[in-house]
Amino acid sequence: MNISFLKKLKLTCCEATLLLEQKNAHILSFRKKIQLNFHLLVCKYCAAYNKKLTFIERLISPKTSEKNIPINDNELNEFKDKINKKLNL
Amino acid sequence: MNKNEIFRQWIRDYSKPLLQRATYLLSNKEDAEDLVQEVLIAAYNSFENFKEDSKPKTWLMGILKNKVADYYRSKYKTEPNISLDHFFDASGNWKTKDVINDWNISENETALLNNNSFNQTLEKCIDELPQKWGILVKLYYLDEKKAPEVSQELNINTTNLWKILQRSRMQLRTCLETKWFSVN
Repeated sequence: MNISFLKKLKLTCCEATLLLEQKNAHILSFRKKIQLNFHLLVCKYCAAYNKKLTFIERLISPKTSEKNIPINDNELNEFKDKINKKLNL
Repeated sequence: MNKNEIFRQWIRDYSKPLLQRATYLLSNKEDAEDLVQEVLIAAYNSFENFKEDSKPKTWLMGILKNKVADYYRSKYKTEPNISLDHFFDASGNWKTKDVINDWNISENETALLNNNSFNQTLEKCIDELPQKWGILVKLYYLDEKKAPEVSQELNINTTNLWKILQRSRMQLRTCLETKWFSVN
C-alpha cells in the first residue's frame, strides 16, 4: 500500500463524527464504514465520543419527552373553549 | 354523530396530546398554541379527507407535522451556516479533550435511565438547542431517523441536515458532560 492511498482514507475527527451520525441512521457506504472503523481504532477521542453518542441515541425518546410536558388544566380548558367558539361548535 | 359532534369530541380528547407535541417540537408555548389552533381549524375544513377507518389522533398528528414544517420553512428561509469551530480546530482535531472522560456507561446505564433528575437534565439539554436545530433533531427522531424525509419536509439539504445533527449532538454531549457527569 502506498502512502497517498492511506492519506485518502484518513479522516479528521470532524469528518469522523459526522459519519457517526450517518452510521447511526444506517446509511453509511461500505467504503466509509471501513474509513470510520479505522479512525475509531486509532483515535481514542472519537472512540470515546462514539460510546457516548450511542448512549445518547438510546436515551432520546420523543414519545416519552412529550408526555412529560406539563399542560395547565385551566389553560387547556380555555384553549378548548376558544377553538369550539372559533369553529361555532 | 354529525361533523360538529365528532369535532367537539376530538377537541376534548386530543387537544392535550396535540399541545404537548407542538410544545415539545417548537419549545415555545405561545407558538405551539397558535399552531394547534391552526391544525384543528385545518382539520375541520378538510374533514371530508378523513377516512373513517383511520385513527383521528394519527390524522391530526399528521396535520400537525405539516404545520410544524410550514412554520419551520417560513421562519428559517435560508440554508443554515453550521460551524463546528467551537469543537474542532482548523485541522479537524478536537479542541477540548474532555470527551475522553469516562461516563461508566456500561455500569450505570440502567440506573441512569431510571433516574428522574438525570432525565430532567437530558431534557433541559435538548431544550437548550437553538430552535432551528431543535425542531429538526426532534422531527428526525419522531420520523424514526429518516433523514431524506425530514430534509424534504423542512426544505433543507441533506448535507446541512447531517451537519445540524452532528452539531446538536456535540452540544448535547458537552451539556451532559458539564451539567451531569462532571458534577455527579
